[in-house]
Amino acid sequence: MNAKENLWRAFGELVVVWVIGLVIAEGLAAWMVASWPVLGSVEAHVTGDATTYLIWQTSAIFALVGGAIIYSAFRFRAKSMDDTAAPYYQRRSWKPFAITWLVVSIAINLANTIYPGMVGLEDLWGAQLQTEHNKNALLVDVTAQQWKWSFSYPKLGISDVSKLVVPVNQPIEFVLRTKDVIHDFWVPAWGIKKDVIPNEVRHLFITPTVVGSTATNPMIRVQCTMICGNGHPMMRAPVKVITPAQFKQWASANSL
Amino acid sequence: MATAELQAQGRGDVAEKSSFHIGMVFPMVRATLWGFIGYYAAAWITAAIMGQVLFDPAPVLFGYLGGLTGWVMGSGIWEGWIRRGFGGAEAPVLTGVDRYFRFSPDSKATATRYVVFNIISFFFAGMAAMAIRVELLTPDSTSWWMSEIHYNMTFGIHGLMMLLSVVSSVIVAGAGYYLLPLMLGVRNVVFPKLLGLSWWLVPPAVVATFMSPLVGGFQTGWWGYPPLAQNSGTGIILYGLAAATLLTSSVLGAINIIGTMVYMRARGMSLGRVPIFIWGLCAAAILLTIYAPATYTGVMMDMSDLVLGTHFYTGATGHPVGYMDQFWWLFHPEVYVFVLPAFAVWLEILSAASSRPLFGRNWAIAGLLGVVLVAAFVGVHHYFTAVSPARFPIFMTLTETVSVPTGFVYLSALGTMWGGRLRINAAVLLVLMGMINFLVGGLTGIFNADVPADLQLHNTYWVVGHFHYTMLGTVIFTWLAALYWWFPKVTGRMINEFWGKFHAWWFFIFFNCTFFPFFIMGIEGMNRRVAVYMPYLQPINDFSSISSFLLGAGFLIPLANLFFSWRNGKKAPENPWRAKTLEWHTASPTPYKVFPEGMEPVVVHRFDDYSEGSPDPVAWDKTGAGESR
Amino acid sequence: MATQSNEYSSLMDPASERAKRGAFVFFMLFNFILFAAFLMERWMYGGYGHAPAALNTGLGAGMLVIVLLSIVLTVMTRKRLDAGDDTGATGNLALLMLAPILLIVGTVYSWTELPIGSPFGGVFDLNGIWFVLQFALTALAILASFLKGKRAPERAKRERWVVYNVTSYWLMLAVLWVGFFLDYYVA
Repeated sequence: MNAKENLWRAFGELVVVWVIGLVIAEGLAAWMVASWPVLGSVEAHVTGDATTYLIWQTSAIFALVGGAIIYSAFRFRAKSMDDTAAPYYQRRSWKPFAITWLVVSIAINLANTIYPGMVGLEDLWGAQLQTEHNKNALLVDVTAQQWKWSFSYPKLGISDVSKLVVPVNQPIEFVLRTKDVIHDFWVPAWGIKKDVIPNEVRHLFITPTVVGSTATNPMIRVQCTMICGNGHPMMRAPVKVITPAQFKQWASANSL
Repeated sequence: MATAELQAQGRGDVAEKSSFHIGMVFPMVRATLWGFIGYYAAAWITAAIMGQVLFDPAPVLFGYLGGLTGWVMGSGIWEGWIRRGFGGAEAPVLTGVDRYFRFSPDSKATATRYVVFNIISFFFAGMAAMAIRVELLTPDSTSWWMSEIHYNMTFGIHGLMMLLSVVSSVIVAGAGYYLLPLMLGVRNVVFPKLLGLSWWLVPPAVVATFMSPLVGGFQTGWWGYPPLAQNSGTGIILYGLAAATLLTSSVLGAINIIGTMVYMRARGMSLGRVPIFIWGLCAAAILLTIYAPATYTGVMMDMSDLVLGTHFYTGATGHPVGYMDQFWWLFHPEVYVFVLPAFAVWLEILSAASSRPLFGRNWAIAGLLGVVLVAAFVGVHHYFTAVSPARFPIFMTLTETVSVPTGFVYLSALGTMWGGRLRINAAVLLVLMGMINFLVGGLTGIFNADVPADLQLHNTYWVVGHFHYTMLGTVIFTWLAALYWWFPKVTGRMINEFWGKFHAWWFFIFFNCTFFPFFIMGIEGMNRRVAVYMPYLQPINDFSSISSFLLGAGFLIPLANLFFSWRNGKKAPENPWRAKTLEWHTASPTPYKVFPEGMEPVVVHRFDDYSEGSPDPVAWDKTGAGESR
Repeated sequence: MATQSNEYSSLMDPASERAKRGAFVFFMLFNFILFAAFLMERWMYGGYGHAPAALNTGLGAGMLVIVLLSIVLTVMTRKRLDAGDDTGATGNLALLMLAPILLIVGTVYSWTELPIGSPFGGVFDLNGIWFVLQFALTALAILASFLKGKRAPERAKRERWVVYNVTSYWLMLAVLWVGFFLDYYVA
């Protein structure tokens, strides 16, 4: 049998490992969040905040649990495979540890459900409600088919353009339809996506906040993200987010 | 009788000495021949009757069924099971090397065949992954390598094969079917012939999937979503049938696992003494039995839309989201079928390697069963972008809940290591690395459970990274660990520890170099299943591709290690790890009869008591001595 | 050949009759859930209305009578098995085999009634195909048990769980078919 060890002392060492691990993990998380790609819409801020918050959180959990795994494997290792003497401690359970674990894991889950989960959803739904009740909201009909996008602006009399041009800071309701298979409407910079399902009409509400175009930032592009056949990767459309004045000009030049 | 005495007796008693000769392969050759004849006969007859050509849906459908029947019959099931079942002559039971090459009711032979075939499947599906990464070296369509059409076929085949013919069976079948009777103290499972059949269903499904490009392939990836499934190549028929066949094979095993665990435990093996690995298998088996059926109906309906002209998911009245509901009803729980046995392997190995009782054993079992309980209610997070917002809150909450029972596994593992004396060999190292990888895989899953984050990350490389961490990073690491750990049990030899550890580090480093960038790609806006991507993503893709080639090449190391150790490894002692579970109480390599005729194990003490002077958990008694219980 | 004898066959198939019959319940559970899924899909895909008028209720009622009779016969067979009357039970099996065969004929005939492209017709026919497949396999299993009882009665006596499981399976199918009748014809 091996000698008795002071496990509280080992735990003290683990705390040191934790502190170092947390500093490294959160430092990396900070670096990752600092180099975050463009958040180009009201919705992108909601989903982006949810993602970055979870990155902070999961980095911490990784440092704590991963640190404990690595530390205990290192600290409590045997000298060799022949070192078969049983360790001093042969406990089958230790209630304080198990209960703490249970309580903490449930607490994290509940907290995550509330924020960023429900709070984020409320933000998205709130933005949607405002758009729905906004007389000035821009209506864009999006038609997906293998393998191209076409856009119509029914209120402006513009139909079937292959380039998505929208004004900045104006709420937009996208009405999504497909002619054949399932597609998915996604502008990466706008931070939200929605499947386009045959025989159904889906609505997606977005308020772009950053001026730009696919040429200046490739995150600002329409991209199909549901596998839709051979041309799936090429099923993109250029996007241009412009000022309201420019948009008015563009609309009058393109309407029938 | 003492265990040591029994092990000495166990080794010499059965004529396993027959050496291999080429004639023994005859059933496999015959099965292949009958399979091809069956396929072409059925396909041609169907085509002739319906006035179609060979690569139309109906001929492929009936061809596959004919081929499957021919293959299974040729394997020896006719003389070994069916002829006898109808009251005909009994074929002799082969106990020598023969049983590895034909239909055999011996669970050890079945499991061994699974291991070999998993390696073959893993190799070919891995080559498909390499082909994918070559394509992604450049952002354009790389037409000298393969077209977008071939790219789509390749990732579909890679996905389906890796899931249903590799990770679904590496631990459950390869390790599980071997250890299930041994750990429970019986000589065989409850339905040995059904278990034997389960392996013979796998090769035709795998061959059919790899051959699907010959009849037009399929473009849907492994999801088979309608209506794309119905208009993008006849290969989808082979996809659907292969998926159904592989699931059937899993279910046949699942029934054996539950049945054996419930009805055939050795005397004295109360549920409190059943090894944790068996609990893990049992959790996986319950999942399969309960959740597979709805998905069978989904796959059947998807096929019938193409072949029979129904309109469940297609046409003006079709309802494609219905397929998602049916598909993910099983296929989310299916990933727990893959990982729960892997968790159980961790705990089994860690407990023995640190010579400690499994910490919080009941917590761990509750965790495994808790995941089973929650599993049915979380599938919707695979298609949050397709459902109405009414489903968001409930399925977000339920999906996040899975982390609580999953966490119990880490609780148990940490508690077992803490204050123990962990002996780290290649297997234990792989387990530790698998735990770290699953931690990443599990934590990145929270993002997909959280609806706001998922609406951006869904169907991007984030998701691809997430499930490669849980599948490759967890299940395959644990598979290698299980192969190394139980290698002495199966072959009587030790693996080469140096190369085992060397490859573990190689695997861990290049695995992370390959797949961690996927998370960044996802955040940077790279969507899934694309042969062509925006040029700004090229540097990170190149880094990932080059790492993946090193990762893939590295698998030659364990392949060579396992092969050479099997042929000329160091002779293993009976119980090289000093584990106490029942399988190590029989002779190694396991004799055909497992333990001598007339003897039965009686469990008299818990298996995980490693304290000084603890009693031997197994006593051996005459058969029938304690029947009056 | 390593060995030609069969001395290991029972040693290496150690499950007791209780285990064989008990474990078979899990197999039946799987198939039961599969059929239950189909019965629910009648509502998901076939619409919430009544069955189309074109459905031949007379044929359905005829098949229901066969199913009910077969349940009675199965219960009688099991009684004989319990009493140890294996020869009598084997005799019943020959008659019992008629039930799946008649039901296959009836189901195949019923496929012509509704267009398969209609939502109700599609799920009705697909459910029927699955029943036909199971009926055919069960008919073969009953035939196997019957032939084994006749040709190798000694072996059949050692493996009585086979007959128990085959009849259990038929009972499950029969009950499910009654459910199918209520679900598709009546509701």
